[in-house]
Amino acid sequence: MPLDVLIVDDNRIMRDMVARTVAMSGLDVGQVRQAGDGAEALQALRSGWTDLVLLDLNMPVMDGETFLREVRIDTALRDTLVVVVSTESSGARIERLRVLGAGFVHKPFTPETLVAEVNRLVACGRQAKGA
Amino acid sequence: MDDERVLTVLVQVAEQMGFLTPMGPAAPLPPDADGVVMLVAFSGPYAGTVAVGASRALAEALARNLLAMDPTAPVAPSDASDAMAELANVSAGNLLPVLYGDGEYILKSPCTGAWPVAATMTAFLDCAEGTVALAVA
Repeated sequence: MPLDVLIVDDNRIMRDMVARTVAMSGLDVGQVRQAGDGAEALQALRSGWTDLVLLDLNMPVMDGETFLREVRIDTALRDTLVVVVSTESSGARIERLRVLGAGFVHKPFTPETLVAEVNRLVACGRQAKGA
Repeated sequence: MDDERVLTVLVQVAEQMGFLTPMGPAAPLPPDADGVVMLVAFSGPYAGTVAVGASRALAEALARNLLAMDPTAPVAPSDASDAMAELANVSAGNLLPVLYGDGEYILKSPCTGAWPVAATMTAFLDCAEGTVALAVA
C-alpha cells in the first residue's frame, strides 16, 4: 500500500526538498501534502488520511514536539507514523520524541538515512498491528 | 580554536545540506551590502545569535541546489532568502552542541538582519559558488 505523506516544515524550500527526496527515495508513496507548522499539520491530519508525517521541530505557531503530543492523545490520529527531521542534537529531547514513538533523522540528512528510518518505523508499525 | 570548530561545521553544512563546493578559508570580511544575512536567536543553557551571511551569488546558487533548478535559472529573492534561512537554521542546530555540548536549545525562526559586529566566533569560507560566513554573537 502506498504511503500518504505529510511534510511539516516552516521553510517552503525545505518542504520541497524533503518532498523531492521522498519522491526519489524508492519508497512506495501516494499523496504528498505539506503544512507550514504544527497547527496546520493537525488540521491536515484531521481533514485527510495520512500514513506518515515528516516533521520539523522548530516552527512558529505550534512546534513539532507539541504537535506530536497532540497527535498521540488523539484517538483517531495516535497511530500515525511520525519521523522528526530536525537539527536537534539534545539527547534528552530526542529521547522524549522516541518515547512518543517518533523516528528521528538529523539534518543535514541523506536520502538513504531518511528511507532507512521510514522503513524501520513502518516495520515497527506492522509488528505492533500484528501483535 | 573556536573559529576552527565553527569553520568545520560550516564546511559540513555547506557540503551536505547546501550541496556547495567548499574551497578553503576566506578572508574575514563581512558579507557585502548586496549579500544575504540570516540571524537565528537561540536560548537555553547559553543564549545568543547565530548569523550566516553570504554573497548574493552564493545565496542564489544555494537556492538552485535546494530546489534542483537549472544552474542558469533566475532565482527569486524570496527563494534565495528561504535557502539562506534553512542554511542558518541547520548551521545553528549543528553548531551549538559542538560549542557548548549536549543541551536543550530553543531556536527562533531565522530572520534577515545585519552581520553582527560583536561576534565572538566567526568562520569565513570560500566556495566555488561564492563566499559564506558563520558567526556566533
